[in-house]
Amino acid sequence: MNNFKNGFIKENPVFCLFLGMCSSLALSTSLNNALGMGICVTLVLIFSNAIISAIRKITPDEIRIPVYIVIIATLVSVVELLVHAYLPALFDALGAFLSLIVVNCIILGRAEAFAKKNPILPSIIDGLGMGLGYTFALVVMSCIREFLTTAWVSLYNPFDMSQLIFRIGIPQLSDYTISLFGTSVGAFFTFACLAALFAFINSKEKKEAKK
Amino acid sequence: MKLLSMAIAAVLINNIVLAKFLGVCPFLGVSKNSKSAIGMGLAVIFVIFSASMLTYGVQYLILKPLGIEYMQLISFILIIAAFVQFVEMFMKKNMPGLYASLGVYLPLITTNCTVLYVAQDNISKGYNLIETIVNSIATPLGFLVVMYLFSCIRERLDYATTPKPFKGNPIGLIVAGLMALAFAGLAGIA
Amino acid sequence: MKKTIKLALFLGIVAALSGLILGFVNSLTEPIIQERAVASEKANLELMYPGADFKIIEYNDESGTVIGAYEVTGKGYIFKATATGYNSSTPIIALVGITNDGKIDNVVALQQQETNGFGSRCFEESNIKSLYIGAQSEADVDMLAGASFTSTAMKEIMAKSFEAYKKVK
Repeated sequence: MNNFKNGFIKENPVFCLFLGMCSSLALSTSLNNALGMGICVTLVLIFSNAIISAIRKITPDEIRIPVYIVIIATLVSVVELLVHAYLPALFDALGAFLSLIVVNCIILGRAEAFAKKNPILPSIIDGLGMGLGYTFALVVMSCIREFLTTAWVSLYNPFDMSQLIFRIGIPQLSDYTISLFGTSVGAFFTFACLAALFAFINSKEKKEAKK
Repeated sequence: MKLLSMAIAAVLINNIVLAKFLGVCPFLGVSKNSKSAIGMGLAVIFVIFSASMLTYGVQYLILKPLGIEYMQLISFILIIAAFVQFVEMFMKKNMPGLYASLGVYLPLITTNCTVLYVAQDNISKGYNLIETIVNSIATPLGFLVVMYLFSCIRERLDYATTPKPFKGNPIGLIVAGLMALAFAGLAGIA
Repeated sequence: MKKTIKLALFLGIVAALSGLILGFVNSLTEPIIQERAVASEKANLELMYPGADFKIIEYNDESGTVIGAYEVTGKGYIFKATATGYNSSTPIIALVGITNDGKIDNVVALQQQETNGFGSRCFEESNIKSLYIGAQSEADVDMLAGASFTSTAMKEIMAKSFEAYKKVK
């Protein structure tokens, strides 16, 4: 359980460990993309952790990295094909980043650090926690950016983009939006401020623990 | 002319780090001083160029004729990983001088998303061989340029007084954002 | 030596298994992906002329600007064309509808990520009306102040569409 909670704030893979930054910078333009990407990564992470942990006893140590890479690449390809077939709008939005999940450091990192020496169940929970931590980071960033660029935060049904699930915002601000936050500049700024915020929270907690 | 404008676009305008957000991890991780930034940049140019050539061949000589393009991701990532490993071993044995300066960056490159991205980008944009060559040299060249500029700024940043939570990576990201802003001003020259 | 063979064998088995799984998933998803591609193209055309009949016509543009051509029965033609505006990573893709009397009567942008508030104004409904609709040749297409890159790209799209129109008619 502790592992699970750590993934969000203390060891948030994105803001504290600076892993998987590329995709979180690029895909946090809207809540829909962020959630879609987060769920894809979480799924791959859970399955890769489970499989790698299941074969941890028969995997020869010398070639473990290539074996992990093949497993992860297979899972990513499967997710990619499924998303392409059933969620074409999401597929277009995620673009190249969907297949770049393979080189997302979080996944190979968790395989090396956790799944290769732990049984299946804890590995699955670790994957879920880390995946949700990543999703959480993306969602927070995308809400901030989408709000600043459009004055709204909205979520659409991924199977049918014309169907709105919810939409909140401050319409009075729609004349004062900052379109800069939709571009790469805004992505870097948002990320920097959030990373600083997380560092601040963690340092405060540490101080309190010392007392 | 088309090739030149393509190269300029790849180096400056669609810069792989600042506009496409790829390779941000090594961008932050290995930019603490300008010497290692250049080393990393050169290693990346070498690996991306060679890996792109290999994957280009595999795509059009093996995957496409057999109709198994869905195996693209697996074969590309394996080629890249194997290639990097091979280069590392070769360098260690035959070029110890070069290995001492570039070798440490090589293992880091396997998990550098730029390599896989450029390899896939060449295929998905339908580039021919010459365009592939230009693209796979110009794109990592953009990485080297930005990496070097960033590391120079960072060396000075160490002596600046920044708010404590911003120390280290967060202030680096702010600088990266400002650089992205400056580079965005170059759009339209190609 | 024996060990190397064992290692290679293990990696080979893993790779073969993953190939099998992928082949299986691919065989499931491929027909759906192709069906979706056809359906989404049709939905785009429906945006222009709801309820009309469309027929794909063969047209090869050497410059690569016009990437698709359709005949709308009884009405005219639709050309799908692409050109690069200010955003060089995402080219503009637009559908241009030209009626049988040689006038543009509808323009729909399928993909554009031009700068918000500048180039993007070229795709606002009121501007589409005043800039493009009713044009009978490339010379009638107006530029928008402050959005010259996007306007030039749109002009290119119109010019090549007219060229294609003259050839297929």
